[in-house]
Amino acid sequence: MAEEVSSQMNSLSISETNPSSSATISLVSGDDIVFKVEPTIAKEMETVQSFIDETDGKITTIPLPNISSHDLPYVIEYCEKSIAGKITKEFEAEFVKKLNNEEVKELFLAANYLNIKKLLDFLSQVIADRIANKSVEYVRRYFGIENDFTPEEEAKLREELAWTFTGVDPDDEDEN
Amino acid sequence: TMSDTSLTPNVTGNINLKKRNAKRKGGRTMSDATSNPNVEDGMKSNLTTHINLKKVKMFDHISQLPDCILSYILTKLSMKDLLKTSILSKRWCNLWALRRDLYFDVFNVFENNEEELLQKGYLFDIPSAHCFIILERSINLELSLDEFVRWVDQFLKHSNATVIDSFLVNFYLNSQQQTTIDNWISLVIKRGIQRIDLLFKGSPYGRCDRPRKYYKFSFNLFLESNASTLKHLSLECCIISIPPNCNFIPFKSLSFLSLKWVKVDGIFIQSLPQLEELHLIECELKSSILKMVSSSLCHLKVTSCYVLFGNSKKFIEQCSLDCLKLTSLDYDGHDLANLNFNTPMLNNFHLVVSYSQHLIAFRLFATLPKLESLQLDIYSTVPTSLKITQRLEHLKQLNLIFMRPFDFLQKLDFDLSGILTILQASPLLQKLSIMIMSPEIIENQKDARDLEAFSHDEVKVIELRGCVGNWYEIEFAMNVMKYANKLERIVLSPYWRDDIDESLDWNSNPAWFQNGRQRIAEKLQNEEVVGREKLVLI
Repeated sequence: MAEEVSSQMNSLSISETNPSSSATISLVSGDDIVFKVEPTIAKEMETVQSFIDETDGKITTIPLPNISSHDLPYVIEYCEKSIAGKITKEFEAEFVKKLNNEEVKELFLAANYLNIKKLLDFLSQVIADRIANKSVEYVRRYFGIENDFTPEEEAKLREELAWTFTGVDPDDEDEN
Repeated sequence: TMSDTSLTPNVTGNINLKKRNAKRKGGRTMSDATSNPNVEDGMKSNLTTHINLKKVKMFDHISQLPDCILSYILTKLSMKDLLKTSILSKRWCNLWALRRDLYFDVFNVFENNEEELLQKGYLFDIPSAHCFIILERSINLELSLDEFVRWVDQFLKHSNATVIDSFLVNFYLNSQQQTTIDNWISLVIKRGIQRIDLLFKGSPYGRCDRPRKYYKFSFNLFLESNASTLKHLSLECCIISIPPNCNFIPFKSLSFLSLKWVKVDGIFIQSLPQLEELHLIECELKSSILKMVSSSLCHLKVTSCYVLFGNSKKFIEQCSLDCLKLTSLDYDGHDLANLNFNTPMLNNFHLVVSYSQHLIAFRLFATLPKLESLQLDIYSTVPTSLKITQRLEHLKQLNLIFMRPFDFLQKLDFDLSGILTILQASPLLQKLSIMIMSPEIIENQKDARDLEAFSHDEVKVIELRGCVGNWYEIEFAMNVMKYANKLERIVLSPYWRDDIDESLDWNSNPAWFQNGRQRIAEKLQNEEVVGREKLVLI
């Protein structure tokens, strides 16, 4: 997966903005790619906005070391739609179609890091949908959870909760 | 790809961002505790999170996120999936207790789609009690009732949640489950419940084919706690039971109350000091007089409430409202003769007017000084002889919906000229919508008249739906185009607006509509029409 991401990264173009506009903000991804965005977009990202406010708007280049240049364009796209008031069910359905499980999780982390409430809420639903009706093992893998129960402990828990374990969907092939 | 200028501020900027981020986190915790009910106060300490921005990637996995962030995901899971998270790992064992809104229905407890519910036998099709539908998709109680009840019961028993904000059960439950349901409610009251929904009709898969005894929603459950946390209560198919000699008010903070198919004593409704919104839908009352005195009530909906005499239902005869703050009212009370309103702020009124009660209705409107928006569901036509003595001074929007009276078998000769009387009595009206349900082409087509006596100086938009090319439709359209001086647009269409009743599927007969539209167009072509440019045919 890691190689895949970096290979896709190279093909990404830097988002284009009007060069004459001095008010644009540069977001720098963890792999040092600069994305110029309108200041209104930054308002959607509370973390970025509070940084700008802190420096009285003097510093307009903001490093986002935890977000890759693969994920950042998705975040920007969502924020742009949000600013324009164009987040519809159709847009969200299309948006999520483009994302594999790994990307959804990365975007969730990014949304949390940037503190974008709407995106976080939306991705929570996406994640919930993707683990709906799946086995415990699948959900563990999905979240990267290490099972720290002893086999005996787990067996006991499963027995206690036996009444809830009817009808689990077969696990999908993991995408990653 | 990175320029020097964007590199330099990295160093200082990063430090600032760190500091700022720490502050932000603090702030967010505070606001979360109030605005996001799903995050527990006790989780604040786990928020010492990703402040170190540059050095490492903050979290490799979602599972490393703090509890409060994970609870975002927990709130979106079905009850079944939520419970499953408790055996993921030791940390997750109690995380699901962070979930503060509990929602139990067939989709959350059994399967999340209808096909699977059918396949596994939780649902089946049974002959309908309604004559016009042959089979009805219903819940298979033999298979699902015990399992559902046990499921909810077990869930609540296993739950370690310290706070539960909202508790919803949508399932066909009766008095047989009385004790169990009582226990559920007692439990959620202890967790500071704010919203309870007990929807025991079990829509959309209820059972109409068997007699049932309703669950009793008992005040006694609230005796200890006084339930002052409860703000929202919604009941379906229940009996509200007030203990004899009850002299306490258990629902001090209740602001929303919706009762549907509920047997209730009016005294209960009177006893709610904070009530802002009330729905009484097909409820059985103790008295045929509905009396409401409230200084807090803003929105009221009353539909077909009745009193039982022996085995026969008798609709309430009198309605007396003394509600100074009431702004919106939706009233279907069958008889308008004994309405007594002291509601000076009322501006949005939806009223069902049955046969020959127009005069009473318009007398009532004249007593409402702020009335701006009015919807009338009329079970007849507006009589051409309608005399309105007092004008509707503030009315800006009027929706008229014409229904076919149930006992009226002949084809109705809708003469729409009576509507012009209403228009004339509403000098500030901006928008008029008329909808004729079940329109038909009548045999006896008359000629459209020029009704010179009419004129209006404000109305801008008129819609006439369910219009199929009868003479009275054409007459109405021609006259408003000619004599409504500020009219910008008049829409004629055989279609109904779909926001009125989604269950009526008229697309199933497109040819019929095409004919309707063609007829309107042809008729209008033959007439001399003034202001044809304002006309829109949909």
